[in-house]
Amino acid sequence: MEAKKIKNCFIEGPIASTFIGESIGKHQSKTTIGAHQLFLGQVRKDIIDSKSVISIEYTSHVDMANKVFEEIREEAFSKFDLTCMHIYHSLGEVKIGEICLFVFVSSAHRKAAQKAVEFIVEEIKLKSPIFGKENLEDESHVWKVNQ
Amino acid sequence: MENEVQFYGMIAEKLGISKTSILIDFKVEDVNVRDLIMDSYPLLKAMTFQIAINNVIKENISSAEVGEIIAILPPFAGG
Repeated sequence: MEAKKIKNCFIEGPIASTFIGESIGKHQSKTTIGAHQLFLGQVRKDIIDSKSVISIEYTSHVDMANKVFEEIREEAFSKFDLTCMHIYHSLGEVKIGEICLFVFVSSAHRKAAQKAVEFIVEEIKLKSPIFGKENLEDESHVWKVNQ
Repeated sequence: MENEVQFYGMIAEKLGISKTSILIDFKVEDVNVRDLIMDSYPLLKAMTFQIAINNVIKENISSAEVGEIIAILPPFAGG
């Protein structure tokens, strides 16, 4: 049996608002959908030791992260009544105010989509091997750790 | 045959290395990778990390997994 091809969910740099808009537009032909639920992660201007974060540089164990995303996807489909779902995460530098995570879930009804997005985002934060170097305004950096 | 070891994020920065290879002596069937790696890189003793072998989180490696990639993963920060 042919091995299942794992989708690459990474995008180099920030996730553009045009990409998000086009993704929504592509679902207009899927007329069984009654609800879309989106989560957008944005890089925040945190203050660390009196210094502002100016960007986060994301790296990842890409093969493993894509496998984890696929497992999260399969679990989400088994738990919730979904029509489709997509995960996109940035690699490389993302400046404050830019989008680094885009989770897009579609369902016939809103509640399944709402619950699924919450589940998916928590699972991504917990299980995906993604690392973030927070670059500070004085050219120093710290490593971000999910709480 | 050896196993490639990959270091990520703050661990790669701290150790000043992103990959190496190790030859594991399988005196017992399951070898604890955490102990093995910390012996080679004592700086890791003060760091929090998980281990993945062939993209699966686990601590022990068996002789059947020779050649698989061992990844040393610092705390996650996705999202």
